[in-house]
Amino acid sequence: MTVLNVVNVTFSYPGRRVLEDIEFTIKGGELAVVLGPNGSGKTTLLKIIAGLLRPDNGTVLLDGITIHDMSIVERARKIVYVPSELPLRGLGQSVAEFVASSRYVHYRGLVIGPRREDLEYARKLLDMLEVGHLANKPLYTTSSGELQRALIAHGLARNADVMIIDEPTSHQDMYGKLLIYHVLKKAASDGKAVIVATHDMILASLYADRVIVLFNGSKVVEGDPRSVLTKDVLAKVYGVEVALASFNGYTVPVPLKPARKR
Amino acid sequence: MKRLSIKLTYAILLTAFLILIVLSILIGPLGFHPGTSIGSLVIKHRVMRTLLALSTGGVLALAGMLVQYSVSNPLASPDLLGVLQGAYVGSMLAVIAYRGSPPLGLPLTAGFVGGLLAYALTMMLASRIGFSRAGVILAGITVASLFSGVSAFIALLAEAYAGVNAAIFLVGTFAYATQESVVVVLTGLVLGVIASSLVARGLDLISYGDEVALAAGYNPAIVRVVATSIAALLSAASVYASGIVYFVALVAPNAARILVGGHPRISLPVTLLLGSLIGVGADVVSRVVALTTGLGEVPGGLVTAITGSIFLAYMLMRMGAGGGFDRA
Repeated sequence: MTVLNVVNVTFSYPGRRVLEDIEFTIKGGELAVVLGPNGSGKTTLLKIIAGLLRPDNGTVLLDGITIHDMSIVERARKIVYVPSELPLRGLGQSVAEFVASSRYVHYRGLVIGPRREDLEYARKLLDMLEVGHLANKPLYTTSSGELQRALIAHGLARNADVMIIDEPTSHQDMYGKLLIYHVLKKAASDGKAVIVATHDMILASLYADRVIVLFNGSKVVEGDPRSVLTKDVLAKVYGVEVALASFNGYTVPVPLKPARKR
Repeated sequence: MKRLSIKLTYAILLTAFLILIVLSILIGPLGFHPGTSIGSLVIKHRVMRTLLALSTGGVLALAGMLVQYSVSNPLASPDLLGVLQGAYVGSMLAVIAYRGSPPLGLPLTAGFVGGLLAYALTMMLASRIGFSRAGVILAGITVASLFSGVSAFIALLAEAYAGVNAAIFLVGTFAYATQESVVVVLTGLVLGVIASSLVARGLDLISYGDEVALAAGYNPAIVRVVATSIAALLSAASVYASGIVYFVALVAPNAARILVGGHPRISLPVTLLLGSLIGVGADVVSRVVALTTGLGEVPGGLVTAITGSIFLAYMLMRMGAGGGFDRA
């Protein structure tokens, strides 16, 4: 089973400490959610776990191997990173071609584009995210919500052991948010370690197996959502007053008003 | 816009290409007299000229595609970013230094260096004004203008000190085709296609952004350096044989994307075919113009420069209408 250890990770941008001594473990089969206000270090942490940034101190181990010592090919086969926004939309490639390009790292030899079976797989994933009708459209014609679902499909297409996703639902309506978390939950139940950064504490309380709360670059608390998402923690970290609604075994924080305690 | 099927697109393009090749061998001021000894010399020259036009068109189309993918910008091309002009300056300096008879391979190497230098200047300027699509093109126009001016001066020097007919190569022509120039450009075309195929997947990925490529297992810096070097070599080969042929590198890949779609696995062969077709077509038109106006020689590059700028205007309007310059 996949085990990802984040060990004492510390990271600074020039003149600014972003992460301080972060430590946690995620196993295959878990959906872990990283919460924290803007600027708390969520995206930086995800990029370090994805191997895109190297920590100043500490390390990230995947099944006992330091991910920053892997070649970028080896790492990309095991870890997939999905950014919150796609910076460029290509030169007219279709949505299915974009999704299937995630599988290139598994190819060998002179193949200049996605294989037929990978395009089929991409279509299936797009269908699952209910944007199958866009498969043949140029990527640059998609709306931000459609593009976000295509990005998730790009992430799923790799079929990597670890899936890291930054803000998967920022451009979705309520239906889209639930759909995406359903899909991610299913990926976790298939044995993948799924790590998501988000602002949405309600969805976190409904879907997360484990919640990690960051504040000013440090881990404040970690655990199952019910024990972590308490009134005190959310008041301290987000500066909001919440009510806790309980039903069907879930405890969901409902934000009420700003309460400047930060 | 509704697309034709890919098979029909190929059928139309191939037919047009074959017709142009036949015309290119038939048309010229000396007519078509295959039986006579002079007639067969004329025909041999026209075959060379046709081969040069189609291979130059092909290498430019490929160079354009490589540059466009490596900066994820459909308007980028070696002529708009100053690479062809830089290659001209480099290779002409080599010619002048050796009074018109430089050692084999030197003008090509010097052209490669000149082209890369111009490209590096463009990218340095672009990074100072932000790497937007418009920013890259504005930086390119600046550097291309600089090297155009220098090219014109170098052409004067080459005529005065090396006795080389350099000015006509400022707009590109296929009239001076030799066996050697044809071999250079055709070899470049074949090697270029193979080398480009090696970085095709990486180029596809960096067109979505460097971070996407890196996270997908492709080092964007390596992909870009390889693609840019291939493009500079192809540019140098085209300049060495045919001078600065404008707009083929911009038009062929974009027209291919409009016709058959954006992914290289489909658009690459159509891009090459279109580049060759434009090269031969421009040469045929230039010869017809020369015959009808009574001018001795009209460079084929003149035809691509004029028609290409019309296509660029069309592209700009299309992109403006399609949600903004920086989107598609």
